[in-house]
Amino acid sequence: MRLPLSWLRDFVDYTGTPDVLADRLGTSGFEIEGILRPGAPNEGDNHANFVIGRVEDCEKHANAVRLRLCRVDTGGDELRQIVCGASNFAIGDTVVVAVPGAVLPGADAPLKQAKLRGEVSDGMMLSERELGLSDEHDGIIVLPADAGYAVGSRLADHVELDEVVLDISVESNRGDCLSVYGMAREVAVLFDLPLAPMPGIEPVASGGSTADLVTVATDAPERCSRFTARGFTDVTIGPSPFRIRQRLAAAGIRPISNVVDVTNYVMHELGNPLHVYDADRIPGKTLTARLARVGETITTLDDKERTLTGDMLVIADADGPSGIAGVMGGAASEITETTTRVVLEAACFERGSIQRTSKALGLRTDGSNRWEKGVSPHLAPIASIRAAQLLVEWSGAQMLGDPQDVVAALPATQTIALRTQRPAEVLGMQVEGAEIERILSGLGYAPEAAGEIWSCTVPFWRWLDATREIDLVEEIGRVYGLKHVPVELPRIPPGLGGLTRAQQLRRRIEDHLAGVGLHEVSTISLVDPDVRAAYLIDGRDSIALRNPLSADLSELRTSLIPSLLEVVRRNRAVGERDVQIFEIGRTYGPGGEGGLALEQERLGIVLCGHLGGDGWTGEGLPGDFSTLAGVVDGLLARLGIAATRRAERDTAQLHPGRSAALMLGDARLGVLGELHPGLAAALELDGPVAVAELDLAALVAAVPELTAFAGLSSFPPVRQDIAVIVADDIDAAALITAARAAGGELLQAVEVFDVFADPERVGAGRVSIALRLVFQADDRTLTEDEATAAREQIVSALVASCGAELRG
Amino acid sequence: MVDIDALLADALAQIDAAADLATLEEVRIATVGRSAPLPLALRDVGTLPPEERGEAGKNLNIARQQLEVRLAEREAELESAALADKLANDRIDVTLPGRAMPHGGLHVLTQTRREIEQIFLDMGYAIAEGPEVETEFNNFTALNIPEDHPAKADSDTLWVSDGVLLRTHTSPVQVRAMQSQEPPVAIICPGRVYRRDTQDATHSPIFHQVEGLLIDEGVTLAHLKGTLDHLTKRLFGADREIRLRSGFFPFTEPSIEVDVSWGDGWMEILGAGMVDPNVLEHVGYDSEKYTGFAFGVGIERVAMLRHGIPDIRMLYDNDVRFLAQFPA
Repeated sequence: MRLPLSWLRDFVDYTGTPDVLADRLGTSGFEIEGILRPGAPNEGDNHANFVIGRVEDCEKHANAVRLRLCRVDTGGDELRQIVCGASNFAIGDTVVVAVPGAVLPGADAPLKQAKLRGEVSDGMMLSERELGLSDEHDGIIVLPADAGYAVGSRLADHVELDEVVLDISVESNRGDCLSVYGMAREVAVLFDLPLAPMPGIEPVASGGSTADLVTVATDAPERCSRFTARGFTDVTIGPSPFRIRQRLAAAGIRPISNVVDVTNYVMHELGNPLHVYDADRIPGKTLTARLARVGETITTLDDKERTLTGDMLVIADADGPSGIAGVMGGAASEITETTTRVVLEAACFERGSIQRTSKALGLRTDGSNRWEKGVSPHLAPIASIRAAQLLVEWSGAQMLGDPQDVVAALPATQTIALRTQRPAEVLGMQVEGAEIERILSGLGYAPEAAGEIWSCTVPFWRWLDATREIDLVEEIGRVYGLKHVPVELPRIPPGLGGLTRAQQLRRRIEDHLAGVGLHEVSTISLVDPDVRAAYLIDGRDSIALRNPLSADLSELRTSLIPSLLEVVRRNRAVGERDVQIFEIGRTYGPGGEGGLALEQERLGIVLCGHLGGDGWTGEGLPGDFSTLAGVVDGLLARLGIAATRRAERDTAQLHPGRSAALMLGDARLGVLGELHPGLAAALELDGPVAVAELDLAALVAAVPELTAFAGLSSFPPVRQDIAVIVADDIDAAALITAARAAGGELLQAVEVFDVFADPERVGAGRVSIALRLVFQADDRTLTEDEATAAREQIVSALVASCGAELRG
Repeated sequence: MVDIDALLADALAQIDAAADLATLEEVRIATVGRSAPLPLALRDVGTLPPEERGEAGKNLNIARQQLEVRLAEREAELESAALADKLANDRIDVTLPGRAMPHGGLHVLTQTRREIEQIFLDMGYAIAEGPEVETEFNNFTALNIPEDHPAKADSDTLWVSDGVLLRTHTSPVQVRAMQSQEPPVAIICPGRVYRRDTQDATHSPIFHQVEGLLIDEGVTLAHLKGTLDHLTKRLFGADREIRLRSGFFPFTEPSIEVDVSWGDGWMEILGAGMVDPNVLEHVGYDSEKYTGFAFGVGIERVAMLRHGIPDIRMLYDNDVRFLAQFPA
């Protein structure tokens, strides 16, 4: 919404600076996008350099075919010689002249006397573009001769030469402020200034009747609640007054012709979109608001043929749609240069209807934008009168009598009871009763005090957004000023707050992993199905979006790993070799509560390259299975979880010999392993890449609530080492489990301290595993013999249950 | 009879002169060894006349003790000097980098989120979480957002199916919290949200919010202002001021936009307001008895402002060189 301040001042005498106005509006519910100054500044009395002139003489330039040598009366003693390239004027025409010294709109330097092909040009005759009025530059401005533009008078006496325009973003609930008058009402109440009444003086009607030109009706009262029409004859199509053209241009509206400009001017001034028809191009002399018939077509004012659906409201004549109601008129009844009789439509269309139509057609106009915010049906007759007044003034029209006003329904007037104490209870600040009354009156609520309440009547222009007491409280707060609201901290009842156990543990997990050298990452949870498929996950459990932004963000992820591998690839691409990362994020699958997704929080880890090292002391730990297992084991130890790993050989993404499930009893916490070398190659990731994905909820659930003290033996432990050779499909976990079972109470710990597979020393398909056994008693110092007896029991068990052979 | 004083003086001189441990050992043998003059003299005390024995023996013993003490002292001196000598040659470049322990870090979004969370945890709030795939009802309807609101359009919201969408704010978590508990409610809802925004330097289809909700008897706009003033001072510095501007959100009334002082001007950082009575009634709260406030702040925005990060996409690129710049 562009608000030229000269227009605003038609209704409220605001004399402060534009900056103060912008600031106050900006904190009172309006966003100020900018302050525009489209005209010429008046610094150094610059406006004295723009004057009205009359062309007294005009001849061809001797040395240039396209130039003319003019002598122009600008009110001085002598005529001024001006060289001009335009050809749209004649001797005797009234023109706009900038004399040397003038700073034109947007110019950096003042205009100088110039010599053009040998002839002095003592100034310039201006085009609309040079005045910042429009893009028109084919000819200069020629003003009507008998319209009071005195030769030698300042241009600034006739138009707002240094117009200031506020570019305002109006919230969607304040359609009433998409108008100069609506904004004037706000400015008046914000600055405590008087507001002029709504504009519009109904012209005296001539003899005929509007019905001579048209009869209007609505067949869709729920979509078109009001349809008014006025007829006009003796219209002379031409440009609008210069001042109006300047004002429309400042408001961002392109001036077209006097009749069309009237509709745009009144829409901008009062907020009710209007339409005009060439009365001689309305077949059947009827205009009816009705739903379009499926497949009906219309050529709109922008010369595009549009096919309509049964959900679109049209204004139809006897031959079919004449215009798309509230969106755009039709070419067939368009005002042309030869139009002499006009029908003015001021109607009220339902917001949803216009919104759907506008969207379906991909056609948004200044009009549709206002309808979508909701326009009161009370406004149409007011706008009609104002437009009639201007049509008569600007085009010399005669208004016919018997204006038509088809009213389907008018909303009932609402009253709201505002309790006197409620504003303070919500806003936390005390506003004087008199000030509350002033604010509500200024906004049109006509408050009447009645005991402990004010009875307020909702003005018609606020029928949609002001319906409740709280809405009035809001008005009082914003107009009185939110800067007056005190700063207070609430007293929050104790016992509500704090982190849950799961939240605490999640933080502990994050801190631990960062502490052992991993960088936490944050990846996008929408993924590319191709990336997912490249990681060999089928789309069976993927939730696809109905309206994705793009194919690469079209479904929700079912695993963190593809996203983390993409991070590795991107880092590799910028030369980073060592990438050790983790993320706690969600995956999404079917089967959640209430038909929603099953959202699981997971911990994903990817190691690639070396962890630590990479300096003069060495290379750090390789990003392989063992390092990853160490990271996971360390995390589990930190959390007090006693999980085990079970070899898995059939995970398509992972190396069949280097992947494992993480188990807590029979429950699966997740999976870890090296990326399958074939897949790694396909993803262009060389070297081992180790990945893990764990279920965070299961992990958190596995953390013991409270750990009981296990006692500390004051007697020394006895360590005994054994080395056994087993078939290479017997894993260490099996040996440890068997040893623990056989070791009895004295066995405190079993640790693997050496593993090797050397066919020459231990035989093909066999592996040597060395175990350190730690024995200890709580009540005595163990003898070597006791420990040895226990060890031999363990060895026997390993031989029996694992086919182990004791190494010498 | 030997001259004890002369012997002693000579021996002490030898001990003091010994420059290393090997020489000192030779001196020990020469002065208190089995065949040294002093022990020999002590052995010969028996041959003296009885009246002289006592005196001579006593003097000789004193002399020997003196020597042994001095020998021990000298040995300690020489050992200490030898160690100092050895250590003086055993040195390393203490400015070399240490044996590299791996070190990672938390993502700057996590750091920022935790910082905001901590501010509210300190004030007594809890942290509530909820699903990202949400119902249209919880995301829009329960929040007083009208059926035909443009935010619901395909152009703004990512839809999974009819009535199911990716939440566009974490407000549905507030709805769920209110549905499951009676007032008072004091929660913040951090989480991931989705908008159908094309990625550029300041927009991302996925970003993170922290929303807050306080519902109790007697909660006012002044409490909201105080809370947000406290929040911005802790996030951006004690010298910051906030400015409230009237705004419009369907779920709050009055609604406010909040700016923080930034250089000579103001920077918009969050939206807030008093919870609309319709929202309270939707979850069965008595809007006469209870009032409340709600606010929402973008974690990315706060992180970018605090750290001077110019492009939101950097937060999701996860370039290790970027991540390593924010160690804590």
